[in-house]
Amino acid sequence: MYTHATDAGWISRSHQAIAPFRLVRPASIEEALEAAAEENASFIAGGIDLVRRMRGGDRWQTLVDISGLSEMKVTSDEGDHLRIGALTSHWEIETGELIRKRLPNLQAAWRTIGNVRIRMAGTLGGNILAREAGYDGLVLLGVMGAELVFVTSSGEAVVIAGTGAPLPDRPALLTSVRIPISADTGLAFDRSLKPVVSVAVCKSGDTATVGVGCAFNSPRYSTIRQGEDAQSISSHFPDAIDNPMGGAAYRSRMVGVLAARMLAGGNGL
Amino acid sequence: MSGELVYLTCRVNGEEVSLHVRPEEIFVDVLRDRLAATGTKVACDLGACGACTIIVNGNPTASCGLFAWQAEGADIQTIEGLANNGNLDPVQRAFVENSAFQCGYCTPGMIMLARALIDRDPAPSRADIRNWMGANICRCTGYEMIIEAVEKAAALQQEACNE
Amino acid sequence: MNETAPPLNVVGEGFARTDAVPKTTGTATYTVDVSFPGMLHAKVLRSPHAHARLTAIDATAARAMPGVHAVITRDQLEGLNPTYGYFIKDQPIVAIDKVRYIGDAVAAVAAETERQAVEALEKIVVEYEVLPTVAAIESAMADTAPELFEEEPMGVVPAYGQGASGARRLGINNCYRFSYETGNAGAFEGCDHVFEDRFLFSRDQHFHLEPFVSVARMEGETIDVWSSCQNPFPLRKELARVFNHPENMIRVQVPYIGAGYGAKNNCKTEPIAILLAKLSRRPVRFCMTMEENFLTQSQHAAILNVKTGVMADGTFVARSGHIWLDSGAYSDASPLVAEKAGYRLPGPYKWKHLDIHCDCILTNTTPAGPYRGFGGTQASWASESQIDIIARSLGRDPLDLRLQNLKDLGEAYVPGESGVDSDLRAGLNLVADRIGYSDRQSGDGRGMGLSVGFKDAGGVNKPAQARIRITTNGGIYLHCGTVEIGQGVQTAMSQIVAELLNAPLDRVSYPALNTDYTPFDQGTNASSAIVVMAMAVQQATLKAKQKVMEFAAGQLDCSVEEIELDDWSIRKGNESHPLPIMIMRYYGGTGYEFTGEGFFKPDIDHSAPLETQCVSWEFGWGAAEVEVDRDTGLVNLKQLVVSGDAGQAINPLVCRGQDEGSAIMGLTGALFPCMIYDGPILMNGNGLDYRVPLATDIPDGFVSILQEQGHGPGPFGAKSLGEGCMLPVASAIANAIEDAIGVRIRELPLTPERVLAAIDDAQSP
Repeated sequence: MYTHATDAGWISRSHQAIAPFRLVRPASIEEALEAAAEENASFIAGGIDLVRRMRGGDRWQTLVDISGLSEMKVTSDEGDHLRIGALTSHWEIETGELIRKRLPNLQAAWRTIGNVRIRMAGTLGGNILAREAGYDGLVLLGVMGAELVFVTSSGEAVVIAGTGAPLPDRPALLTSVRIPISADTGLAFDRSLKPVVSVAVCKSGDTATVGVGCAFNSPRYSTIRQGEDAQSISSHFPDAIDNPMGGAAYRSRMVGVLAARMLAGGNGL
Repeated sequence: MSGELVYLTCRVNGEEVSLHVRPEEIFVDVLRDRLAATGTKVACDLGACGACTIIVNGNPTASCGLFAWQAEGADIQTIEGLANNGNLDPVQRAFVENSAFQCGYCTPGMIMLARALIDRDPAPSRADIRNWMGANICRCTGYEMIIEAVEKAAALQQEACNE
Repeated sequence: MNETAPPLNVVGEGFARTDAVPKTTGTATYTVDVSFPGMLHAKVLRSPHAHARLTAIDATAARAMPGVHAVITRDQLEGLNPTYGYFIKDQPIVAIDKVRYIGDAVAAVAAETERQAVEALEKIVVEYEVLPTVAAIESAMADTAPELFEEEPMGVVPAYGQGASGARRLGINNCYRFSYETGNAGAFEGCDHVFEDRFLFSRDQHFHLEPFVSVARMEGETIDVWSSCQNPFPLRKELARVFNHPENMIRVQVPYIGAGYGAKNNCKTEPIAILLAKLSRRPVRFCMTMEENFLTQSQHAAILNVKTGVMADGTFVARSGHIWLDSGAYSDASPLVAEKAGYRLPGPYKWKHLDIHCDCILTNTTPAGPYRGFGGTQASWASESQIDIIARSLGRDPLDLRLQNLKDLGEAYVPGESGVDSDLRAGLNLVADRIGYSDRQSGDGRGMGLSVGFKDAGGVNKPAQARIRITTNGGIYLHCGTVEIGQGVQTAMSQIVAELLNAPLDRVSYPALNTDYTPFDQGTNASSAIVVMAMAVQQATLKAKQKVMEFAAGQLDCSVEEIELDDWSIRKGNESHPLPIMIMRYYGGTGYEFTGEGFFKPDIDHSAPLETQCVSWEFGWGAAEVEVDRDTGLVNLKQLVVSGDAGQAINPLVCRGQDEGSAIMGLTGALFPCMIYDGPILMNGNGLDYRVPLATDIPDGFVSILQEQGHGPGPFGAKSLGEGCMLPVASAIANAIEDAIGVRIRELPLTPERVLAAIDDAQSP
């Protein structure tokens, strides 16, 4: 939140010192990609994180406002998957009728994100791409094996969340997320220890995927099989962040405790 | 590298507003500096505390994190727009009668947050109120008197509707 | 008059606050809203190093930047007394020889826009010689620790009374020590049991939503400064010294304040804003960001060693204690906080011997200063935790042991002191009954704890003045220096005035403070308004009323005893005489104003440890119920019951808000992470990462009970309120945790990680 302006010291800016930029408001995904191809450009949708970063001193030459791209706001039932547009707000996810029918557990988990102001302004795509350690959208999508669908100048690129696969080179626009319906029944999520650690589990057959937020710089995942001691899942993960906000040992141990609890509950293996 | 000015048209408290804004201009400064509507306050300046909450198209929104051009075409309500000819809005009345404020700095944001809730749900439960009002920070009151005021505001509004 | 008191009409009623409409319609003016044509914006360059010598600073390039009208570095301090502080003048306007914490001000710029100011600051070149740092109390006290001040800064040790003393520089980085002793040190030898415990206290930040902000301008040679400040008169005095400027040519104006909780005392933004205004000859606004608030003022972290001797039957005998406060990089109000932390450590119990020291230790972190509770929070945490430890060790119920040892109503706190003005046992039984303490099921992860928060109230040797003006048509102006900072003082004082003048509340106005015409006050602090300032207000009101009555009696050719003031008419038997007509008949058609002056100050008394007897005593009785998750350490607060004693509530709604607000503030230090330092680096010093309680954090079982025991020294029996209920919260919760899981935790905050570590420790052989 501070800028390290020079070696001379810190300057704490307010929003009034945000650096100027050029605003582009494309009418289509193609136009958006074209505008974003310029040097030092960024997409902006809800803008929550971008404004914070710019207040802190980050600069962009061009902001490409994609909030008007209505095709990115659609939720559609594709049989074994639900496709949710990247511009869908958290609020729309937690209240959407189709999502309630097809992904009720995800919908319930999503309600724990932010507060009502954030949930109304923030978007699914923004939550994923902000890459803030404390944002848990990707933890949930990762354990569910959701597909992040990008459009690039050379066509569509799909990244499976939770695999650690790299995101496509820029310019690439996350347009929607495809979530396997089958993953929802086994989903559980615990944020009670946020911001130290958050844990999502998704059970499928005799395997469960465990996703961990907050404890690493980005979400981490592992799987556990039927018969294994669920608490031992802690050892599947690398060393967690170790700082005065939360010790690595505690974070790591809580991964096992919370995962085991969720698996012993309604989502037991 | 300054960007070109952007033409913004929106409605603020029922009145049409048209002006040129810089792309980097934040909406709360449009309110405070250009429309002289200083009731909306800035505190954390990170969208976290909600002191700057206004209502944008029915949604409670942190105006410190909103670029002015993002309000294009929007219907905006601020604390200045609630009272009608000196008659307080039911939310304002309830905050007055219940002393649901102390220093008053979070109060415009709290009132707008509550207004947005009652607009959506005229009879929210206490749990709904607690959850919704959990978006904004008040460091003075400990919240109970605010939650009771929002309950009362909903009741006052119901009464007014039934008359 | 020996008749029974007449029934109250205005006092005691839960009227809507007199600031309600401005504050709920967005029309209340705060310092952030103050603006002048041509006003410049100030920004500050802050040290990136926790401790460094400033070897060179060059602002030449910054001065040439567009929009820049003034730049301050140490070179612009020439001719000023450039350091400020309470007892010790150690904090410079901008760094002179050294920087002492990350965020210490190094330079400042005033420019036409904030962005221009930032861009200019980026051009300033600074050379630092980095020095070793000390970021916590213990390392700062080590023999080999680097000293923040190699030479002794200018300062004073005030006079103390019986048993109390102060001293400076008794050790490395030790900027002040307060000590208090009474009774015979041999008392410990006769004790059956002696308990020694070490407690650690967390460091909260005030998180006032209106930032530190001021707007300064030169009106000719008069310094005119608008400030979000809770002690404008001491501020004026300090500014006069710093700027070598006549006091009568400094005007401090204070509109509504967006809270302070103690933070907004003394110089914060004002010296930089004023100096920039002097240099630029333009109005200058210096409004900090919330991040800068975190780099300007905090609560005191503390280490508290407490040794207590008791008899086998539970009788308390002797207590000694040593407290070390983390003062941060500058002394600020630390010596005053030390006085109170030390003085309050005994708690409201019967002791034969006390021996307490409280040291202020400088560290390379944000300066710590006044924070609601003012040392009492730290003291209550240790004292009330240890009482449960003692009770459990003796096999006694903690409630019972407290009831055995609490002071009686009216009993002197210590020799030479005033008597406590609440029935402590009644208050404790009240919260215990409400929470269901005696029927509780202890253990199995669920338990209850009690605590008696305690502090003296009313300040030390605090003078207050007030003035009443009543216009021809009965408009009443109350001028007094207590600022409306959210506590509802404007409403409470107006209710007192209205009651005394038999007037409706809406006839009373409470003009915003302006040091040019508001009568003097020492500051809005120490829960003093209702027992100190209110006495002056009462006197001023009665004097003005007396003038009205004498005037009316003269006009009606009768004695004052034959008439009564009834709203703004004079009643004489069954006749009613409107005052406006009488006034204009005598003073002419343009009218007149009646005035009254009031003054209050406790007497100097060398037998009282703090040189004056405490005016009032403030208590917060607390009871907590928790459920502890043994696997994660998460503490789930099920119930929190707090109670304060208003003596006589002037406005019960305002009292309730104060009790509940302070309790939830206390919850921050108990269960929330507070300020997290990684060495000298503050990790969560912004509004997003710093967690304060939200509505969703408050348990459904949160209740406040307002007592009106009627023993207060203020008008109508009122007494101090507003800080008490934050004091018992942390210890009540820690006591409940022990009740629930048998584990004692001596360190705040009670984070899941810490609670789990304590559970682990208890289980390890």
